[in-house]
Amino acid sequence: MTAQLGEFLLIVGGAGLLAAIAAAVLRTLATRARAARAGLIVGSAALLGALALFIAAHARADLQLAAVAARCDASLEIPWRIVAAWSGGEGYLLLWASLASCVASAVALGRRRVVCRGEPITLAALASIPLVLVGVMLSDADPFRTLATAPAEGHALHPQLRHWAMAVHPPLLCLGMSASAAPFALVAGALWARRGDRHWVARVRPWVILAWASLGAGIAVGAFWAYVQLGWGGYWAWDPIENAALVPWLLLTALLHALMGHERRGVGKVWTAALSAAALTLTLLGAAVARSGLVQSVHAFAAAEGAGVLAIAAALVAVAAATLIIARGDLLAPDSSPAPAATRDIAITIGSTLLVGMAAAALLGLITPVAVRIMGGVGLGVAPAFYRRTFVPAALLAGVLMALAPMLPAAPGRARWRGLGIATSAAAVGIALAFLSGVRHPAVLACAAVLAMMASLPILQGASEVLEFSRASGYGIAQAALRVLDRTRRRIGGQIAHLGFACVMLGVAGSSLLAARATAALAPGESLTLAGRTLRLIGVRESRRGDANEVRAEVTLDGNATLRPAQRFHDGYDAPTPSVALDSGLAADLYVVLAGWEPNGARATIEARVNPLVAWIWIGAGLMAVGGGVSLSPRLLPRGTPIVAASPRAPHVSPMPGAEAPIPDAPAIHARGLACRAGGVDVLRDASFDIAAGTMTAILGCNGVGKTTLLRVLATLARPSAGTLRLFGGEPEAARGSIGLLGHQHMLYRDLTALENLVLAARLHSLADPRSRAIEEIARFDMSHRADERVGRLSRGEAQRVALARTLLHRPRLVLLDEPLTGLDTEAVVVLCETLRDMMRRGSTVVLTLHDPAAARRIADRVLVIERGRLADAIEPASPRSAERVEASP
Amino acid sequence: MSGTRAMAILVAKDLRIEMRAISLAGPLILAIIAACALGLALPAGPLRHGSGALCMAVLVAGLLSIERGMALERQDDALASLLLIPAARAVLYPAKLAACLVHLATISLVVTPLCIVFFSMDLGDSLGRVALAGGLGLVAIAALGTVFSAALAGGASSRLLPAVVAPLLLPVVLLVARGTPSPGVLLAFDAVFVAAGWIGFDALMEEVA
Repeated sequence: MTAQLGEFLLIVGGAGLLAAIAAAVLRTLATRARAARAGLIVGSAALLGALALFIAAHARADLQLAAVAARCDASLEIPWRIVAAWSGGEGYLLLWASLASCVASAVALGRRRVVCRGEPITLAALASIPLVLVGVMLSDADPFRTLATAPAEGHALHPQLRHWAMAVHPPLLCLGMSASAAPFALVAGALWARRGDRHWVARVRPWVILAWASLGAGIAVGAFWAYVQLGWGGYWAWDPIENAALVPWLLLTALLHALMGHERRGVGKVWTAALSAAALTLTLLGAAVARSGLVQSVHAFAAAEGAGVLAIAAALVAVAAATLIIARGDLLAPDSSPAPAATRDIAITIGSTLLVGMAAAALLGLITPVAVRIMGGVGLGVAPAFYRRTFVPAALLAGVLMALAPMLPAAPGRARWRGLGIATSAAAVGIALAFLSGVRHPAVLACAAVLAMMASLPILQGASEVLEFSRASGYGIAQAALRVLDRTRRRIGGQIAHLGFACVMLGVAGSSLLAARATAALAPGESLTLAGRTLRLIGVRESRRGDANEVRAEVTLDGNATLRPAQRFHDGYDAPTPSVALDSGLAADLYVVLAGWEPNGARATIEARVNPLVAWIWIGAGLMAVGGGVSLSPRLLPRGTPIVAASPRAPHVSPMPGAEAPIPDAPAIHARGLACRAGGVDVLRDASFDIAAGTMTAILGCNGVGKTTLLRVLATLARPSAGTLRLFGGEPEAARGSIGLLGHQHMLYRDLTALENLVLAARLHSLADPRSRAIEEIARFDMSHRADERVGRLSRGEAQRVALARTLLHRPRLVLLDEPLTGLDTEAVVVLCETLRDMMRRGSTVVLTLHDPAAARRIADRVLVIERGRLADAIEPASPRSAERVEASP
Repeated sequence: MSGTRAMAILVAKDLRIEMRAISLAGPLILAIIAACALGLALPAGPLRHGSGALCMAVLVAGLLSIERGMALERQDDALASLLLIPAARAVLYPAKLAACLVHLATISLVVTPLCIVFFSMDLGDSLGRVALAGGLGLVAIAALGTVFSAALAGGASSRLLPAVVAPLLLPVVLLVARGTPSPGVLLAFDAVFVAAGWIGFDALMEEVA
């Protein structure tokens, strides 16, 4: 029954995924997207059901299933039975397919409200990966294949796989591989829809971070497992299967950095698209190699099926990506006027190039043995020395760049000398500490310097930001820290990940370059000394533990602690399994293995290694995963959380004009027969209207019909050639200080920073504590991280955010916005709408020009249509109060 | 807000932007080259040779600098945001005038020693009068230059600033170039130029906006 139900679920899952792909050719966009989502949800639900069924079969030790009988037995404890579910080729495929379909569903559900033309292509591309895996399962690697006769006992899971790391290593790798499909699918969808702008970068980034963090954590857990379980003293053997996971991880790291250039400066778009495609291609290629049976590795699946299909899928992705990149080459050209490259941008580009170079080196190690085997050769591969010569210098250089990048100027001509001074001092302290600890190797000293630099700057920078925010906002240190963390979590996540990378570098350098090893055959009472540590053999014992016969040596370390390295002979397995004795510390690990023994226990061969700094690798890997998590974390504080504390320490914030007063009955704007001529042309003719206070009015019209002129007349910047205008019942000039205007241009000084522009406006409006007010407003539009950047170096959207902050800074009674949504992302539109809604509740009147009639009707109380300088129509949307109606308009 | 405070804020803003953009470097280099060229071309001797060279160098460089001062206000329509602040509208002219005077004074401080060296100017007892005349001449250049840079709003017309302002400043230049002009006459010119600028600037701004 389990087998039939499982296969049925696989078929349903495949059908759902197939339907999602087929939906891409349906007629209307909305139907396509809806059908694709439905297909994906059905597919992922069915595959998750199949996975649950498969795990349950293992937990029950249902030996009727061939996959269960091959790796599971009732004698195993239940956790190891579950681990056995994904330790085989079929289970691994099922896990991967389930997670890949879940990723596809998450991408689909994450974009429900807005459908762009590329969405069906994105969803189809995402659905195709799990569909290929389902195809492999249904044809060659059926996890629910039954045996004609169920055996009385199964073949229990390999003893070396009975470790907690194996419970999380495959799921993490599968999650990373699944998520690595999303960036390419999103890029493909955007290119298909002919969108070469920067907006989709924000959608791609979380998936890149998820894939990067999951793959990285999976690799680290796998390395830890190899270290403690395999008994050879190392954690990374540069075998092809290890490289198969490392290559996409390196490419994803490069992609994360390439996205920064794409988003900030509009350059490197081809690089971004190519890296996203390469990450997915090489993920599939790596999986194909792992299942090919052509390479020898403890990580490879023996005689697993589907390698050919996966290799073909990899080739198809590569061909599709190349075709799309060539066909849409015009969209991938750099922006016509990119922001000038700062030193930091150059450092990031060099770092990304180094990462791609390292990936190429690892790829060579992945494909060489396979190519040699295909061509008839045997046993030829890439020696570890090759990696030492390529990876070590590249990683060191990347590390130094990574440490220096945050201190390098983010804009041309703005050197952070203070930061560089701090970093240099920290590097000197790091080298001195390492030197005093006995380290003399230059590479390890360099790593210590990099680590010290990486650790110092974020801490000092973070502390400075928290103190400044606390001073400006009135919050206590803890509250201020929470708010700063909340707003800058992406940057902080990146800095934590960088710190983790530096820790890993230090650990790898220390354990590779400073390791010591000794082997001795000892009689009881004899000792072995290594790196100042003495191991004395007490004796060797044999005993029965669980399903294994164990030979265990007892060794004292420096006369105090007792270590017990052992070898276990599990039932059903000929080769012994080592049990490593570890004495771990931050400075070094003492790694002891029982390498041999005489049957009577008269002598035991003890192999001891001192692996310096290896613990830093696990600390670093943990930090990198935490960094990814912090970057991905949602806002801790809701958007409406006040930025300035209400405590007595809070600075005085200038009250909004009219904040306490009821909304007056008199119209905020009273215009009769307004006309305006410019250059002998009647730009505005006979415009008569009243706009009530506390409402939002949208002005619609084609280009050049006079919308902007009308706004400038209302703002008292242009004098009407005829007609009467009264603002708040008085002369327009009297209301000047109560007007906030956002024009076509951002109306900011390019050579002042964003914050300086706002402080200037706050001072000229006589606001109390202008700096705090400016910080508060800039934070509202999520521009704190760019507050010290000159406006001339901000992107269009960022400048628009700052311009909005400047417009609303003094809480004007009359807000005039000319195309305010231009260049804004969804998040900024939401903030703008929330702020306007708040201001309208307090009596402010909003007039804005828009091109989009749907958006105008959605957010405004009233719509005025202008045609050739005349008011042609006035439409009153149905809702009674705009304050309740203003909502995010993507 | 008091007018003085608003003016101080605007002057500080202008100077900060000029310092950051190093926009004074171009006019300054031009003034130095002009002073050097005239110093090498004209014989040393009469005081008015040096005064004339100094006037020409400061006038040419000053007009370039003034044009740049208003251009930064027009860039990205930044001026519009200032015009919506009532106090700023009233003090905008004196603020621009003050910032402009700081630029011209800077140029003069660099160029004057060059002229003294090249023309072997023996100021002697007339130092005070020459300095006063120079200062009043700078006020005249700044007052007229600020008004016309605002009037010639943006685009190609702003390039006409030297062509429009230089003829109007001719009497002042000729007076200063004589070396020992009557301060009263220069003061009268300054008063007329500053008053006209102050009165007309608000109207000009409305047209510019």
